[in-house]
This record gives sequence, structure tokens and C-alpha cells, in this order.
Amino acid sequence: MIARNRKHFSVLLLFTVLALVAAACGSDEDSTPATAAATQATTTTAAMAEEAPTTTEAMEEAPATTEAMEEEAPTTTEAMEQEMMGTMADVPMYDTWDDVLAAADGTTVNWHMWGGNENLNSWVDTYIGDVVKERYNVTLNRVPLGDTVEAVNLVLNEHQAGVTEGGSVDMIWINGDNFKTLKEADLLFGPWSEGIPNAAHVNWDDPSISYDFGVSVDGLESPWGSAQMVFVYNSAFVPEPPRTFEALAEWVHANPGLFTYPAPPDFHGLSFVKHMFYWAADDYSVFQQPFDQAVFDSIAPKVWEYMNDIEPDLWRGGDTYPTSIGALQDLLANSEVYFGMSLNPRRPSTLINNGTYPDTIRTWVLDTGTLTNKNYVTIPKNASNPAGAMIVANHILSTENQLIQANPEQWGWGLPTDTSTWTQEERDILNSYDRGVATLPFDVLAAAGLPEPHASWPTQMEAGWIENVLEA
Amino acid sequence: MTDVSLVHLGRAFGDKWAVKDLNLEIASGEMVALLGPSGCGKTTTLRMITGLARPTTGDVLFDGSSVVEVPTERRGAVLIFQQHLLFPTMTVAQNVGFGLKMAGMGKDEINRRVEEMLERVELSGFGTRKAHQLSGGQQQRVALARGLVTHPKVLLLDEPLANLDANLRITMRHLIRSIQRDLGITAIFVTHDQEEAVMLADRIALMFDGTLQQVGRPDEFYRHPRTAGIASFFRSQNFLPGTRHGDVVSTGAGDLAVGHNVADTGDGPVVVTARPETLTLSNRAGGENGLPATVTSAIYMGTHTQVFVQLAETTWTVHAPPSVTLNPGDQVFVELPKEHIWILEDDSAAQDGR
Amino acid sequence: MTSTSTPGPAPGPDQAVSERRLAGRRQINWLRWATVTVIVVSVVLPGVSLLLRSFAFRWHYPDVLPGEWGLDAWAYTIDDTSRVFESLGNSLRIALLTTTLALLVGMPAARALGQHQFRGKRMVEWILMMPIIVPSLVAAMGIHIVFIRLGLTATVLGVSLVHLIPATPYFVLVMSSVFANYSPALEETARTLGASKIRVFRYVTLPAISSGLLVACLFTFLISWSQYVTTVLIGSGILITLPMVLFPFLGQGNAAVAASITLIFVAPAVMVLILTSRSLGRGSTVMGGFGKV
Repeated sequence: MIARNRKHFSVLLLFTVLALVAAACGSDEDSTPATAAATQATTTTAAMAEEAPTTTEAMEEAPATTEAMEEEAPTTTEAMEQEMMGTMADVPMYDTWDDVLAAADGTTVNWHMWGGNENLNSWVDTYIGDVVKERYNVTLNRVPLGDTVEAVNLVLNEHQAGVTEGGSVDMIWINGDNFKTLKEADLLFGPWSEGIPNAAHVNWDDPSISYDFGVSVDGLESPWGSAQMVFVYNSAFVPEPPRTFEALAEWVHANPGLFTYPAPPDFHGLSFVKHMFYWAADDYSVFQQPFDQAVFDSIAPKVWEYMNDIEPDLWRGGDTYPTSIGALQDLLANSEVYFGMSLNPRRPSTLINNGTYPDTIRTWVLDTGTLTNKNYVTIPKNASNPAGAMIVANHILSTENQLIQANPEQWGWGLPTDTSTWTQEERDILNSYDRGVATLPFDVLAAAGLPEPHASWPTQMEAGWIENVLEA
Repeated sequence: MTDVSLVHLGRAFGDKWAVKDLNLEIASGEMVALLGPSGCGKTTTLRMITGLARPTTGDVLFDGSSVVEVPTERRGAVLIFQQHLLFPTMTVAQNVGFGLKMAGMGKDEINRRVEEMLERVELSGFGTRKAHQLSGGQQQRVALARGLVTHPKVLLLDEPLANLDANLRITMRHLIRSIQRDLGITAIFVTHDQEEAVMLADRIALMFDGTLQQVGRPDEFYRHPRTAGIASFFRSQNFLPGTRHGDVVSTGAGDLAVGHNVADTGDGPVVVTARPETLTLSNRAGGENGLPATVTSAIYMGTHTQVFVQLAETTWTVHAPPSVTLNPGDQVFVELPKEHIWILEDDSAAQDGR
Repeated sequence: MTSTSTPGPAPGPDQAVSERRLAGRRQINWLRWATVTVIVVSVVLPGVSLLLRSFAFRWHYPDVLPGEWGLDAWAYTIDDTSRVFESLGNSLRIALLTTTLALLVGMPAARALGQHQFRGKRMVEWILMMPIIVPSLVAAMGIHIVFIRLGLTATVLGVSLVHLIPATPYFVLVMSSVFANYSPALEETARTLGASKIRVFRYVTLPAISSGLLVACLFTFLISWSQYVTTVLIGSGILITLPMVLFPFLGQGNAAVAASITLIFVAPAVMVLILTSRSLGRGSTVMGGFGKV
């Protein structure tokens, strides 16, 4: 009897372990093949999302500001709507913005977006969701995703199943590869983004807006946020950070073990490599063109030489690299290294405020500049509610929302809008914001901005890094 | 008090007949053994009586009325398996009281009857134990009590003594018989062990290959088996083929005169048999039905000496008095007294088949 | 064990049995302590760590305890924006329906596999195990297209049906091993003793398999509970379950929020385990000492 029970016991124990293992890794494993391609883009948006006040005091202050904004808003919006009526011509299905408003009245918008930031989730619900509900009677259903590629897969699968209308995704927070995928598959609604009233606030002539990682936007997505690389240092140990790559190399050799960067394909790590290429090239505009092997071969050796030169003096002697920006963040937070990086200029201040970073953390940009890109919202062709989605996208670009978005006490994001279209009063509010001890001023960042390379370059840079640095 | 009739009973699996055209009358209060080697269809027969298996042909009658359409739980035919005897999650008392509970009897009445029955099987005070706390013999007795406490019309036992050691078998045999007789319950059990059948049953029904071979009192299977196959199943070893002409059978070792008590097989090929203890050895010819034979071996057994002799082409066993000493190669005469000779139908083809 | 009123049985075998039983009990004791240790180390300690983490505001290496404490993570977790309670309800509904469906589908299969030998049985076993080997996402991608046409996407039923793919194999594995050690002779005995088929199930079958059934249902429930990719796909992202609000926070999200949602995520599982462990121990023929630990 007992022997039999023990047999059962071990079998069941085995099953328990199996089940737990399956439960623990099942979903991670499952998602690997599909998500690989989209990791880069998601990392950007994830990093973007982190800029925000996290203290409850700051959050509590929000309503007052919102009220002030709402009083101002109507005049601006009305004026805009009058002005923009004519530009709806290209937008499919709707002739005028009033048609859009009428069609969206009482509907729900399913907005599929990465949901791993509690502040961002709250902002979207509060400053966008509640507002569009009250003003346009549009219900915003924020669908939290672990990875944007899941929304892309949904759209692709629905297309394969022949769902040409009434799809489950109305709007996706997107950029880079995921946008490229849907655009190339011709599964996006539009063109619409240059036709909505508040498109007037977007400078569509700026290539860092009209090109999404080298892919022409063509009115198929509307900008939401802006990201820019900044380098991070701990001023308690490094009084004056190196502003050129030459100075960085000197510092690394003089202080072995205290600098590292995430290994590509981590997006921050890859960005670091991109900056190396921009530094090594005489003219970085070559990277705005599609990939050219000859150009690559003329520049790459200098990059590999530099990186291999500093490698022995990197953290852990360069034997290993942090695999994610999160890992580098932890190293910096624990003062194991003195440098970090962020694709969100305000993030380091946020991390000080939420207790992750010590309060001696500061940021800087290289004398030669840093990369910047935008992230967008897009509407699938089979969306059930493109009108509602356009209303949400339009509200995002309203100056009212942009000021909330840029306000570090409310939201604290980079802006994709052209503030020269704003009133002086609005610009004064923007300039009055305290963006945190570790955040560089708008004008410093704007002056340092470099466009991202064409999408065909990063894969070559990454492969080259693995071959010539990691495995060398 | 129920009598059971099996009428042209048969059950087929595909084109194979597990039981074929079985006819058997079991009297009320009688204990009948369904005997046969494994796979002979005896368990299938049992299951058809309980209703757990549906007959392909024929009928099962309890007291003259068909029960084929009566579901198992209302048939009153309780089956006791040799293994997996007790419900493991229940106590002994719950096990014994299960049938009464299913019949809707009140708690007090159940308790009273269960206690009474546990006393009857000498397990008073075991009521609160679980099955796994009992020995094999005790479990067997609880299973018996559980079956009998409901006063079933028919008690069916599947190899009731198979898992018990020699001592327990004797105890259980007495117990089963005494309770069954006291309660006057009709009982049918299946077994592959002819000793078990002989010890326990009023009558034995022997089955080979789904077909009933012979029905009768246990002693008839020793003294008057119908065929050589039946005789050898009952451990008989002495078979001598011959040809019958009236009261004389000519065999390879000589002619034998047979009495009038033998089966009426008619003239033609037959097999002569006699049990070892009825035979006499002599060193002279001329005794009654004396046939010449050669001793192949002799073993002293205490109560007798077991002598193996070559008789024509066959080997026979003879129980000689213990004082007899014989050596291999000795020429002897085996005497087959007329009244102990039994003539069998020649079923050598069927025997070869097994 | 040895009763003086017992006439026949010699005390010998019984004594041997009880000695073996004692030896077995010593082993069970040893096993029990080992299991307790493993559970403490692998479940309780991470649980404590999660609890600390969920209240942590500033927690730097190598501090043993957080430097500052905060309620922000929990404030978010219980707020409507986190959608934790909404998704908790959905997860519960889906996991319960999945368990029910697994019961309906898996019981006959498990019984057939556990109790009968038949040609092609190994094939059937392999096919049943396929979902464990093949990532369920692969199957879900194909099923998604079918479900869109059937209108089963974004429904509790549709998601539950897809959760059956990874869950059923475990259910059938557990139940077939339960049935392999359960004799149908007991049911037949009960029938001849006057119990109808329904009462046989109620009084004989169910008590005999209940602890195994509980384990199988628990596995099924937990597998459904932790599904993510399949839920996103078949649920169209619109039917939101607990993993969907939790997983975005794992890795790059706020660790405190991840910890507090994780605690909500594991709470029902731990509760079910604690509640069932008692009944698993009682009169169990399958679990042996497992439940009594």
C-alpha cells in the first residue's frame, strides 16, 4: 500500500514540477519566436513610457492643472477645426471631421498598447480616456499588451481569416518594425494622420516625424511621443562626464570596470553602436540612405577598433555585457558602474523620484549629438471604429493634451508637436515646467537631435558587433 | 430461496463465442461450481447471471422468470470478486452496510444487521477499520459479509479462495459453506481449481472452450468422467486406447472384460481408465483383467508406493501397498478389476486441441 | 492488527506487514520533512520577498530590506486603471470553464487510457502529449483563424477552448494514472449490491478518484490561469485576464507593481492548494502522504 502510494507521490510530484515549469515559462517561451522581430520597437516605446511623476503628491496636483487647461481648450480646438475642414479629402470613408465626430458618437475604441507602466496606464485612462468620453462620447478601452507584436499578430491573423471589417483592434501604439510590417502588408487604414484637425501642430516636413526608422509614414500613423538618447552618469563619482568618444575611451582606461553598455540586440545597446558609427563616419547622412556595403566597410573597422580597445577595461573585463537596459539600470543604481543610458531624457529623473536611482544621477549628450525618434498611433484597415481612433489620435495632438503630456508633474513626455504653432501663452506654460534635476532642457536636447539611421542599417551593425566585438 | 436456470445461454465477441449454448439448472439453496481452465467462459457466464454482461443468445431465469431485462442493481445477484474486494474509502461497517444503504434501510437497522453479520464472520469490533488495515483473509470475510447481509437471491463468487494460503482456504471453505447453508442461499462460484470445486460445491459444472462438458456431483468427475479430457482435468493419468465390442475392449496390451456399470459408449474406439488406487500389481498372469507391463519407476510415498508402468504405448500410475518393492525393468501384470474400469469417449482430437 | 478472536490467520504475515508499514512510515516522515523544507524555500521565501518588494520604494543592492517603503504599487493595483479586479474575474471564469471542459473531455479519455489496453494506445498517448511538446501558440495561431470565422474570439468560451490545448494533456496524464490503479470491479460489485449507476459514481467511483481528480483539476485550473499568449490572441486583447495585466510589468516594468500584481496572481492558486491539501490527505488512496505534509 505504502509502496504504491510512494510511486504515486513521485509521479504526482513530477507532474507538479512539470506543471509549475510549464506555468512559469510557458508563455515566455511561446512568445519568443513571434516577438523577436519586434523587440527593438517595443523597447523604444517602453523606455518612452517611463517619464513621469511617480510621487502621489505630484499626481494629486494634476486636477487643478487639467481644469485650467479645459477652460482654455475649446477656443483653440474650435479654431483648428474650422481651419482644417478641407484637408479631410484624402481620408477614406469620411468627408468632414463632423462626419467623424458623428460616426464615433457612443462608440468604443480598443487601443492595443504595451501596458507595463502603471503611470502611463493611468495617464491614458485619465487624461485621454476620461476626456474623449466626456467630450466626444467615445469610450476608450485600453488593452494592455506585453508586447506590441501581439497586436500586429492579431491584425495579421484577422486578415488571414478574411476579416476585412469589424476587427478587434482599433488603434495600436506603434513604431519601427511593427509599423513596417503592417504597412508592407497593406493592412493600415488611411491615409488619415495628415488630415485630422490637429495635424496642423505636427511638422510633417521633419524627417524624424515623416520617417519612422526610415519607413515613410505616408499618413498612416500619427505621432504621439518623442524619444531621444541621453547618456547617464553618477555625479557622485564622475564630476564631469566625457563629451566625446575619445574622452570616453580615456576615462574607461583610467577607471577600469566602471563602464559598460547593453549587448545588442538590446535597443539601447544597439543605439550605442549606432552612435559609434555616427562618430566614425565623416558625414552621418550616409546612414539616411539604404544600406551600402562599401560605406559600411569603410566605417566599421574604426568602430570595432575602438570598441575592442576599451573592452578589457569594461565592467567584468568585457567578458560579459548586460543583456538589457534594465540590467544596466540595476548596475548603475547599485553603483557597480558609473554610467548608463536612456532613450527617454526624463527617465533618469523619474528613476530618482521612484527610488531606483540615487539622487546624484545626471544626464548629458555628446558634443556630436544623440539619436531621436518618434512613436505613433496607427489604425488597422479592418478596425471596427476608425472614426473613434482618429478622435483619440486628434486629441493626443491637441495643445491641451500636449501640455499635460509634457508636464512632468502630470505626464512628462517628449513632444512630437511643433510648438511654433502654439500661442505664446502656451509656450510660456511649457517653458515653466520643472523637468527634474537629471533632465536636460528642451533646447539642449533639440539642438543635439540626430535622425535615426535607415532601417536597413541596424541589423548589419548588430551582426558586425557580434562578429567583431563580442566574438572577437 | 431461488432456483436459477440458464437456457441456451451464449455470448459472442465478434465471431468468437465466449459461452455457447449453455444449459444449466441450479436448485434453490444449492452451491454449484463453474469449473474450467482460464478463458473457458465461466466468468462470462457469471457476469451474464449478474447482468453485468448481456447474453447474445438464450435466457437467465430466476424462479422461472427471465431476468435478462432486469438491471444488475435490482437483480439480487451479488457478485464477490477475488481481488479489489472492499471499497477502499469506506470502513468495514460501511462496506458491509453498503447494500442495505442502497436498499434504503434505516441507519439503526443497518447497524444492527451489520454488527450481526460481522459477528457471524467472526469480525466483531472491526467495524471502524479501513480495508487496508485488514489481512487478506479478513478482507475476504468482510466481502462475504457484505454480500450476504442483503440476503441476495443468488450469491456469485469469483475464485473465492484463490488468494488465500492453505490454512485460510480450509477456514474460509467451512465459513462459506456453513453460512450459505444456514441462509439457504443459492450460490454459484467460478474456479479453475478442481480441488476447490470439489471441496466447496454440491455440484460441479465443467466448461471447456465456452461449452459445458459435464455436470454432476464432485465424485462423479473422479469415478465417471465423460471424456479423457475431463478425466485428465481431474488429474487422472491412466488412459489406454482400445476398441469396444460389447463387454470386451481390445487394447494394445490385451483384451479387457468390462462390467455393466460403464457408460454406454457404443462399439468403436474408446479409452479405458481406472484410478491408481483401484489397481493391483501381480507378478503372475491370469488375474482379473491382468495386462503385462514394465515397471519404469517406483516411489515410496509413506501410505503407498507409487509405481509407474509402461502399459502398451501408455504410462500408467498404480498405487501399490507401501511394502511393495519394485525396480525399473521388472515385468509385472496390472490387474484392472471389472467394477473399477471406466470407459471414456475417445476425444483425443479435443485433447490435442488444448 | 492481530486479533485473538481471529481463528485462522497466523500472526506471522500480519506482523511482517506492520513492520514494513512502520518502515514505510519512517520514510514518509523523512519525505514529509524534506517536502516541507522544499516548500518553505521555494514558495514561502519568494513570497516574502514579493511582499517586501511590493511595498518597497527604494531598495538598493546590497540592502537586505528596502530603504524606503511606499503604497504606490498597491494603490495602482487596486485602482480601476490597473484592471486587476476586472481581469481577476475573467481569469476565474475562464479557468473554471476550462476545468469543466477538461473534465468532460478528459475523463472518458483518461479512463480508456488508464484501464484498457487497445491497439494504437501508444499512438493516442503520443497525440495527447503533443500539446506539451508543440508550443500552444503555434496551435492557437491556426485556431484563431477558425475561431474568427466561428465568432468565438473575444469570448470566454473561445479562450477556454484554447486553454484546453495545453491543459488537457496534464489532466489526462493525472487521471489515467488514477484510473490505472482503480479497478472497475469495485463499481461492478457495488452494482450487484443494489446501487444504480449514478449511485455507484457517487458512493464508489468519486470517493476513490476524488483526490486524483482534485489534483488534475488543480493543474488544469493553474495552466489556464497562467496562459498569456493564447489568451491575447483568441481574446483579441479585448477579453483581459490577469496575466495580461501582469506580464507587461515583468522584466522592464516597475518591480513593486509587478510584485503586488504577482501576489494577486498567485493568491487564488495558493488558496486552492491550502484548501485542497486537507482533503487530499484524508482517506486518499492516490496521494498517500502527499496531502498530509
